[in-house]
Amino acid sequence: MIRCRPFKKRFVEALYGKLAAEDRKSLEDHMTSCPKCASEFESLSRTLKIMDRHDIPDPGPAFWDGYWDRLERRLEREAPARKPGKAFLSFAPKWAWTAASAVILLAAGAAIGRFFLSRPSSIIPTASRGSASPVSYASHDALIDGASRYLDRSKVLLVAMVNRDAADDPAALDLVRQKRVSDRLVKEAAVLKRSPAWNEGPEDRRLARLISDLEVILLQIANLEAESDPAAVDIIKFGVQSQGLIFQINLGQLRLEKAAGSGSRGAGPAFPKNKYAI
Amino acid sequence: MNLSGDAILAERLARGDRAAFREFVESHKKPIYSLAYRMTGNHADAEDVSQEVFVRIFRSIATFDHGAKFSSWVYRITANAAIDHLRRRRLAPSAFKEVRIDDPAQAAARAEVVSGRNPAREAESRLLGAKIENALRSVSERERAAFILRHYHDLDLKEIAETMGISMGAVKSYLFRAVRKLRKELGRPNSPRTMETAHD
Repeated sequence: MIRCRPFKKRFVEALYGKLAAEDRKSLEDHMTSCPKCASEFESLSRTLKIMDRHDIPDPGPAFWDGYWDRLERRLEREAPARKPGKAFLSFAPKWAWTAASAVILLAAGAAIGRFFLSRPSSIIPTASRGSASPVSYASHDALIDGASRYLDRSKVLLVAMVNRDAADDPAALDLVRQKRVSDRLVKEAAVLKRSPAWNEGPEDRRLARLISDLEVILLQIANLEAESDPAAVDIIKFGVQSQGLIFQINLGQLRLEKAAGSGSRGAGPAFPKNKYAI
Repeated sequence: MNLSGDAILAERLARGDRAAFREFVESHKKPIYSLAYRMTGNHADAEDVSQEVFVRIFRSIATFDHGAKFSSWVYRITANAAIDHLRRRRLAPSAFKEVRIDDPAQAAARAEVVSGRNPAREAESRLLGAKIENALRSVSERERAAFILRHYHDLDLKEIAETMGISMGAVKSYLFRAVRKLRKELGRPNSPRTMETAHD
């Protein structure tokens, strides 16, 4: 019945006891004179009572205990790998071409950066390399601690960069400070890479690669020409996002934390947790 | 899902606090799993969806808008991950499996919930559980998401609207349709249904 429609609209709130007193009263008055609505309301209410009895089968303590480990493995397995396919290129709008150009520029920057900033053959320094700057990370524990701090600080900087919206607020980011911090981190990366404590294991190789990748993007930030250059900042932001650098840092940090937790680093101190603000 | 104090947690996660992420997973894995279970109707899919939710949160926490409500963001990711999962499964017919209300695997899982009581009551409870799960499958994915968030996670209509990115009116309509469909389905005599789900 047409006159019932406005009352039926209130059923949901009434069923969950969320109807205002006045509306509730008028609904009750209506149902007193409309057995059809009263009956429907009653049957819907019974349905909800049955649904209350739905219990989730508990998968058991073994499932919950191993949950984190399975998740961690999945995170490692699903590290982002950007592969823009043919479809992307066919239907890409103009901005996507601009972004793709930015990626090519970044890749070129990365290649140049790697050529000048790191030794391509190995991360393990030879004795003759030690003269350029002092090697501060003589032991593996010290090296990993240093790398952990480097990742923490790089992430704080990159997250600030990525979250900055230059269009809305040009002063949202202190670019001078970001450049200064980036410069320090680039120097720190060079010291880390020269450490004699690196080993040839896959974990160290991955960590060294991440440090080199970050070094390239940090170098670009350090070398920004203008103090406020929104276009250049946007290109850097796109580079950070397209390479999944923050995700890569998170993974690196999880691996370091896991290594610290499993005691593989000996009896050294636990990794500091974000105490190194930029 | 208890997400009080989550603004602070969101801040910590966005800063890349590794311990915070693990804390977050440990404290939210059960409610997220339970939402995923009710959406998908089985353990394997619920685990897959719940882990997908954490992967998405881990990847995109830097883009979380701190002006928004963190719990709504988490629920939205969970509901969307479940809906995506169900849609992918619908697109892969070979993956369908007919689940009968007397399916032994579901029955065995459910037995854990009701074990330790008398056999007649256990059997009744298993049957009811399976019937409710089948009834939930008869509801479209978005109606189901709205219903589960309201009925089992106690979100109010405004929160559901925020979570699902729809108007309050649309939430009311989804809920009303969902409850009517559930009533109809629960009123039917026991008959096996397939896992294929209704959709919008």
